[in-house]
Amino acid sequence: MTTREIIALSAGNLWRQKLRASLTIAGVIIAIGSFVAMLSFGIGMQKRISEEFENLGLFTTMQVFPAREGEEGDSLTRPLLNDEGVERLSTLPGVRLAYPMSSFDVEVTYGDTSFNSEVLPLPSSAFSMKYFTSELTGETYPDDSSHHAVVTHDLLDILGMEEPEELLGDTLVLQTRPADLDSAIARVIVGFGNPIQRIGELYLDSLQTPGYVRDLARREMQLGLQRFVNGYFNARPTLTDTIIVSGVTESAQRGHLLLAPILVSPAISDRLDRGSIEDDPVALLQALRGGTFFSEEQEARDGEYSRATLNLDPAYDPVAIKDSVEAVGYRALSYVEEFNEMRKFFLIFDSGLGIIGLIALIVASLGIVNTMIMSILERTEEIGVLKSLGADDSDIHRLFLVESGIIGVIGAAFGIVLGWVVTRIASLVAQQIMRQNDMPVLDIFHIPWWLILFSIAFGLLVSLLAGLYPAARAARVDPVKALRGE
Amino acid sequence: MSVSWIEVNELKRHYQRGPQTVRALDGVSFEIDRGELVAVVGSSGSGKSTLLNLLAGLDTPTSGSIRVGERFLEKLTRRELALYRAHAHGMVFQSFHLINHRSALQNVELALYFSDLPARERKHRATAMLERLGLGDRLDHRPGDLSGGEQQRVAIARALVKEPEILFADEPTGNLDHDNAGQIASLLQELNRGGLTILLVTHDRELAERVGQRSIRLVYGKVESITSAGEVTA
Ligand SMILES: Nc1ncnc2c1ncn2[C@@H]1O[C@H](COP(=O)(O)OP(=O)(O)OP(=O)(O)O)[C@@H](O)[C@H]1O
Ligand SMILES: [Mg+2]
Repeated sequence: MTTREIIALSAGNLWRQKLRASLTIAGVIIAIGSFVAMLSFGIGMQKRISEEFENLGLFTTMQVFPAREGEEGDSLTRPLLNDEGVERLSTLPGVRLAYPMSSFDVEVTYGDTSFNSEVLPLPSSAFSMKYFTSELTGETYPDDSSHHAVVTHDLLDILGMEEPEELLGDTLVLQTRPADLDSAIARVIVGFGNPIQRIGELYLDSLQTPGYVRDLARREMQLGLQRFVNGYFNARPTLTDTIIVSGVTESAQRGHLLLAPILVSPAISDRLDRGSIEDDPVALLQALRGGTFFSEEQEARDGEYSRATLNLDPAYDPVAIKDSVEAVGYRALSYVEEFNEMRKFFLIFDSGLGIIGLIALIVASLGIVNTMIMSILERTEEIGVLKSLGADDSDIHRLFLVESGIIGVIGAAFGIVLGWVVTRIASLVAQQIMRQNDMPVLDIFHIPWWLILFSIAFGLLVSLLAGLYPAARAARVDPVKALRGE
Repeated sequence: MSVSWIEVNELKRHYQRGPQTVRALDGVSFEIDRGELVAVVGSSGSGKSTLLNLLAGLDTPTSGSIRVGERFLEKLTRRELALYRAHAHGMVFQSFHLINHRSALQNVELALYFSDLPARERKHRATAMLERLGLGDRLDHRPGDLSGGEQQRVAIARALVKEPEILFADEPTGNLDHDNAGQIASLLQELNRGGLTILLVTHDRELAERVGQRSIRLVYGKVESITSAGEVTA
């Protein structure tokens, strides 16, 4: 018998027992349907996350930080994450580009509003990384001396704007008053008035009471300190720069790390960010009191960045790159690792969902076994006839196997449709909830092609396994007994 | 002496029923020539059907040999035995053994599923055979809608459609009334005159004498006598 004849015979037999066949098939449909719906949820979630990672270019991005103190070896061997360090990072195999990241505070004036914001200097070449340009509206700045800026949606939020287009082409005035030791000292001296004369006055009036002199000296010292601090803050020159917003990029959140709301070219930051001394008053006073104002530590760590961002060659294994960065002595954060962790989680998650579908499929397969055995009992005579007409055992075996295979394939095909319908309904409900809760509306289900093929193959496989025993039993039917008597 | 077409030699078929051995066939030997119509007679339980099933390659003997033409059945593989069943012979049974949910035409066509004929040719041949047996207007009828005689003719059509060398008929008239039985008997005679070798199992002595050129009488699994037509049976 050819395969075509066997399929025709099997299909005919199923068709004859429409009700029984369709009940059995319904079991498979429900099983495959739940299998598809469950897995499509896991796959959909995973897909959204990997899309998010892809959008942000996180697969080719790595963050590098200076090693923590007391971590791995002594502080002497701890390399600085300064220009030299960043340079060195950029030469590691698999690293395409390395950028230092060090933001500073400015006062921003936009129209009538003023506010403080962080600014991050970024070389124009960094915009070759998706990491900085995901969902970019407008343009990046063309070169490192440009007076253009790319801002993030966070700045829009500050300004109470909805659409990026509202801000494009507008002007921002950035202002800093960097602390400067020289100007501060100059101010203190000027504020003293005529110091020689004052010391003279002190001497004449209170020679007899040393306690009073001490007291006075202390007061003068305090006054001097006050003047210094005053001078320090007031004598700072105001530096101003005007920039034009050329582009607006996605939110500031970049895989746990914040991007400043304003990105500017290094030329702007060179002008605005002197950043030599701490200008938080509390920290400043503490430094003065504690004697660490001019300390070695401050000097040694000068010019060090709090982090650097690496753009990786996708052809290289990120884990290997991470190892080589850590070998140099820095800390590294690879998003790929994080993603792989998530993948592991989803693998377990998906397997859990798959097992639920599998249980349904096992139940359905018992239905198939039952149907097939019933079919054999009813068709013993027919098997005898077929054998007398020239069928051999393997023909009968195939005939019954194909019959249960057809149950599996039809069940799987409609099961996929059922699964799809279920996920569409669930997706609509989920999206409604997302909308009500002001969450970004996502489709959390996804049925990829391979899942469809896999489900059909799986349905077929399970039904064939279910058909093995009945088929073997059918093949063993003794034609002499089957044809004897009535 | 010319070599006969079918040769059965010391054929035994024993069934083991617990401690008891049922000797359904116990050393049967005979020969049949091409074109003969031989009747196998004997009382119920004498081993007639057992013999037929062995000759048809549906059962395997406990010992002894069967040669059909050049084939020694006991030497054939399962596959070759299936091919032998598919091409060499046709079978007709007392209870017809038609498949009830298939039409007359489909039942007949089924016999051609094991030859490599295209579906069209199968249908054509099955139709022609049914027409030849006078069932041209019953092609789409289910067996349940046909009379016993018609059903047996469908069964004969199914047996003949593959143009076999031999026809094995096991009590083909057993379920039929006198008239229908007579018609089937005439049909078998006619087919035999056309050159078909027929082995007819029956306990109807009258039928055996009417159509059989020779009769093989079985008693308790052994050949009691082989008589030619016209000879007086003891
Ligand atoms: N599978 C079996 N197991 C045990 N005994 C069997 C089996 N098949 C047949 N027999 C026995 O073999 C003997 C011959 O049976 P067979 O069917 O060949 O007789 P028969 O001549 O065709 O009878 P009838 O005219 O009633 O059809 C009987 O006694 C029967 O009981
Ligand atoms: Mg019998």
